[in-house]
Amino acid sequence: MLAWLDRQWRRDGHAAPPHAYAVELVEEAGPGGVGAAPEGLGVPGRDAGWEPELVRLPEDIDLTWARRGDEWVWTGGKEWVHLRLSRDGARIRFRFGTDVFPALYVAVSEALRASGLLPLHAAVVVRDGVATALAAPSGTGKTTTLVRLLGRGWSPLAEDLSWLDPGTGMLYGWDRGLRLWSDGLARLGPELAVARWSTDTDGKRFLEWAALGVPRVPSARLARVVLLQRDAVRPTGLERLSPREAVRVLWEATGVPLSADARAMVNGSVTRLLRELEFHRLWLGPDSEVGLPPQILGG
Amino acid sequence: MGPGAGRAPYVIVVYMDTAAAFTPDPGRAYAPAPGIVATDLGDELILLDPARGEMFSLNATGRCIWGALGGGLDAAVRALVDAFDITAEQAAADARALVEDLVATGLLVPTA
Repeated sequence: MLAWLDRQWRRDGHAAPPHAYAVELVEEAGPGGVGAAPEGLGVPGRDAGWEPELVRLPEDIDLTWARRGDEWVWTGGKEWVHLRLSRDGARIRFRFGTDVFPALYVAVSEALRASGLLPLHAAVVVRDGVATALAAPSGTGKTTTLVRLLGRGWSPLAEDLSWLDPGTGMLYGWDRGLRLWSDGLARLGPELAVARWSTDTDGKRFLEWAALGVPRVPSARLARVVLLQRDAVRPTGLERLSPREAVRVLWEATGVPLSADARAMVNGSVTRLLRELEFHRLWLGPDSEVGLPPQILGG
Repeated sequence: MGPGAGRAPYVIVVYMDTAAAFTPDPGRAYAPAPGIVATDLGDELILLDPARGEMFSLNATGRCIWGALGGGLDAAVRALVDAFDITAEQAAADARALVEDLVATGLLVPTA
């Protein structure tokens, strides 16, 4: 458990300002099993007031939670997770088991959202101290585009996940390197394809930032969000997004929080980010297969 | 409903058919359906339904109506008349039609 916390959530390189919101994580013993959630926690269909709520994680992992107000409960074969959110903090109780980690990840993520931070699912590159986020559905080419930009003088901040503090505009990279399926390696070029990739427990290949030979920037001010979009005919090029499209990109990149309070908070942040950031679409045409045009994204 | 002087008809980008007719009650107030998130762009209102993963867009007219519906249909009518160069009759027709659409689409619910 401590190893998971260390691997998923400890980032000593970040110097974020202290925050008053407290996240408490409590491991509890006791019997597990379906329906054996602790006293006071509910099971939909059995206990009044609890309703099922589906949470979809990246890579199409679905978790069904029970919800009552600002409480959520997930139960597995032997394990369970209980999340309670309030304006001042979050309390996460859980019973450990081998299948508990996705639900715990959701619980901790929701607690961080409730504190006001926004997760940003995007590749992020930095130049001159300013970050550009590359957002797109899985398979579009975020990682490939990130790697190609590294060869143009950009530095990596994140490959898939970073956390944004809307109050300061600072983006904190969360990834420890590149992670992708084996069939994606060939698109990265011959040098990276033969680099020393390890294999994670889910089968994805992993390469630490240090192996890329480019210093990683742990945090930077976010200035721009670029939506990557493939097109079979249109040449590679950059254009501005409409405000309506920018709203969609932001919500899809940050996700929608579970709690109503957090949704209202994120909505306020989205409205502010629409004014403060630039939004573009980068068309990836057939010519992008052999590389990006010079000066694309200004670098 | 066609465009009137000084304003355009509201637009719902994604429209769902309704199986049953809904007649808005002029005296009743309305609220966003649970979970609906409204992002205000100034001249356009984006409504996000996370449960369906869909987004809807209201133009300036629709935005005006949406913002006033907490006070009921009559309040929406007054807001339209104040904001646009239209008659009260046209404003009432526009507001009723939009409320019907929004309730049918699951974006709006009558309050108790």
